[in-house]
This record gives sequence, structure tokens and C-alpha cells, in this order.
Amino acid sequence: MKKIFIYISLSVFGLLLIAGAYFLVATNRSAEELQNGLADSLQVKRLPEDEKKAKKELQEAKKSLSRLKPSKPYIVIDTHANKVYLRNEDSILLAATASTGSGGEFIDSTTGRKWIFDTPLGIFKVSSKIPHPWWRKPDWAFLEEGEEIPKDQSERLDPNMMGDYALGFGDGYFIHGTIYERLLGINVTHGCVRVGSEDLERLYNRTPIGTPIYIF
Amino acid sequence: MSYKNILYRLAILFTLTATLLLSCGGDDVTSEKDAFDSNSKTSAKKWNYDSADLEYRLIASELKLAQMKKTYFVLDFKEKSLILKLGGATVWSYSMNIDADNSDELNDFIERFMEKKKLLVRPVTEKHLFAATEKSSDSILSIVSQVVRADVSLMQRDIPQRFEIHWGDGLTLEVKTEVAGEPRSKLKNAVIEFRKVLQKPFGEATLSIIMDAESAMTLYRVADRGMMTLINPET
Repeated sequence: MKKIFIYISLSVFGLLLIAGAYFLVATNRSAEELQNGLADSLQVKRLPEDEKKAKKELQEAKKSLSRLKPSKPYIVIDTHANKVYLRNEDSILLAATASTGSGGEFIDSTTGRKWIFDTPLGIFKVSSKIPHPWWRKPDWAFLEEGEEIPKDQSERLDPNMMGDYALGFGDGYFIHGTIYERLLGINVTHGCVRVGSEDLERLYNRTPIGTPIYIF
Repeated sequence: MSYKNILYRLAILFTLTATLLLSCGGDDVTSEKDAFDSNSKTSAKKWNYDSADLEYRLIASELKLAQMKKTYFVLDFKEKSLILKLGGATVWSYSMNIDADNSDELNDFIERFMEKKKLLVRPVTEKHLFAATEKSSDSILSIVSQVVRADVSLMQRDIPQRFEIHWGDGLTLEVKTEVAGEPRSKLKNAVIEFRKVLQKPFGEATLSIIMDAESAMTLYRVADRGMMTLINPET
């Protein structure tokens, strides 16, 4: 009986070891494949050995990199932590709690039209600055409520939803205020970025049109 | 002593003095040459190819990453910072507290990271959340989700207690916070720990840092498989 128990224990241990080794090899191979697949995009050439040429090339590379970095304060939107920052390369000038896109989707059962409520990621610029903005309700705002889409455009306008200021960054997306300040910090929007009224005013006053916006 | 003899002795003395002076002069000339040589050596020292090449490859790598228009991760050991960048601009940064106690750990990590083909960039191959707590309570989310008609799970955010980012070859960044969380999957946690034990004979390098909960949440959520990571190895 004892022997059987020992055999079973050894077998289980052996199986565990084999499974672990297989898992180790598999994950390392998967890492290798990913690395190799990206090898071309990761490779960079070496600096020329001639000092003059090398110095020139290094200088040009430095210039190219510095051209990419914003020279003035820029906006960063962290959709993961629901934060909006005004910052420069080294320091944060303003930090505000925000609400960004919920990631949910809505399908109009009649027409099959589909909306995904994500805040777009990437690099944008402040393209418009609007004091006392009115919300022009899109189709989904009516459909979500089970209402008909109005033919009269004036019926789409809502003067209360967007707070005191709005900073547009293209395709109908804005950084704006909200009447639901208690929901700040949670991903609840349809893609726009909501900020509390005091932070919004500070942000609005410190960002001229053209200010870069980095959303990640 | 004859007149001729005195002249002869004077001639020898003059020759010796002249030789001595000339030899001293010669020394001076040689010293200048040496100084010139040593100056040129200093100038060669000033132009350190390896250091310039590293700087160049760092910049060239970053230019490539910036053009991808995706968030990339920078392990900047020179500035002792973890940085997330997008298009060349810093969007998130965290100062690492690296003390003398874990400098060996740090050097192992850097050497291992760069081991293959002297690469400065590696993609994240895997991340694993060991334990976390939920950011918003279910009751708040259920109310909010009804108001905004959104899926509760989409609004939920895990605040990590402990997670790891892997780059393959036994390279791991372990991040811990002071949050008291619950294990997400005990079985997967055990498997990952077991794999670590098996990896040990093949070599591994783990860098452990403690981070505030909000920063950890952002880093955990951004660090998906495939995210490019640039290392600045200068410490």
C-alpha cells in the first residue's frame, strides 16, 4: 500500500514537472516569436566610426527627437486612471479627475447602426475653444432614451450638459464640464472627456488652440 | 699646463655643455610631443565612440517607437524613472527608488535585457495580476451602469496589489502596492510561481519596485503584450 502511495506521489510530481517544463518552453518560445516578429522594427544601425560623420549624425538624431517633444505645456488624458493632466516633459502643472469613455456599445435595433463609446487614443490638438457650450445631441442620445430622432435641429440643442467650457479635439469629441460631477473618476462617458468645473476653467484658461493632446 | 692643453680642455667642456644643453632642449621638444600626444589621447577620451553609439542607438530606437503612434515604455535607469511615452512625449512617469542594496539586481536586469543582439528594445511578452482590489464598489457601479446604460464590467478597474510584467528570457518587473487585494486566480498564481522556479537554472532577472496604487493601475492596464519597451542602461 505504501509503495503504491509512493508511486502515485512520484508520478504526480513527475507529471507536474513535465507540465511546468512544457509551460516554460512554450512561454519562452512565444516570447521569442514575438521578439523575432518585431526584429526588423527594433533594429537600428550603429553610428559611423568616423568621428566627424558620427558627430553629425548624432546631432541630427538629437534634433529629430527634440522636434517630436512638445516645447510648450500639453494635455495628457489617462483613460485608465481617469485623469487629465496639463504637463510639460518634466512636471505636472495641473491634475484633474475626469471621466472617459465607458467602452460600451449601443446598437439601434431598427437600423442596425452601431456606436462604441470609447475615448479615442492617440495624438490630437485642441481645435476649438467654446465658452458656454451647448450640446448638440447626436442620434444615439435619442435612440438610447427610446425617443425619435428630431427633424428640427434646434430640438437637438441642450444648453446644460457640457458645463461652462469645452475644448474640442476633432470628430465631435470634447473635453467639457458635467452635471454629474459625482461620477468623475469612473469610465461613464460616450467618448468625451468630462472634467469638474474648477479644473475645467483652469485647463481652459491655460491651453491655447493648437495645444497637443495625448490620450492613452 | 700648456696653452694648447687648456684650450683642449675648454673645448671638451664646451662640447659637453653644448651636448647637455642640446639634450635638455631635445628633452623639451620630446616633452612637447608627449604633451601633444597626451592631448590627442585626451581628445580621443572626450570622443568616446561607445558612449556616443549608445546615445545614438537610444535616440534612433526612440524615434522608431515614437513614429508608431502607440504608447511605449521606457526603463530609464539613468534618470531612475519608469516612463510611458506617446509620440515622443512623456504621458506618465514614476521615479524608481533604487538603493545600493539592489544594485546587483539592477545590473543583472540590464545585462539580461540587452543580452540578445545588444537590443535596446524588447516587447512585453506577458503580464500577470497576482492580486487586486476593485476601484468602485459594486453598488455604486450598478447605479451608475443603470444611469448610463453601460456594462458594469467595462467600468470596473482593478487596483493591483501585485503584478508582473515579463519580457521573456526570465526578465520580470514586479510591481507591488500597499493595497490589500484578493488573488485573481490562485491556480494561475501558483503556475507562474512554479514557472519561475523552473526558469532559475536558465537564468532570470527580476526588478522589484513599490508603487502607489493609481500609478500601478495605469501601468498594469497599459502594459499589454507587444508593448515596446526601451531601456536606457546607463546607471
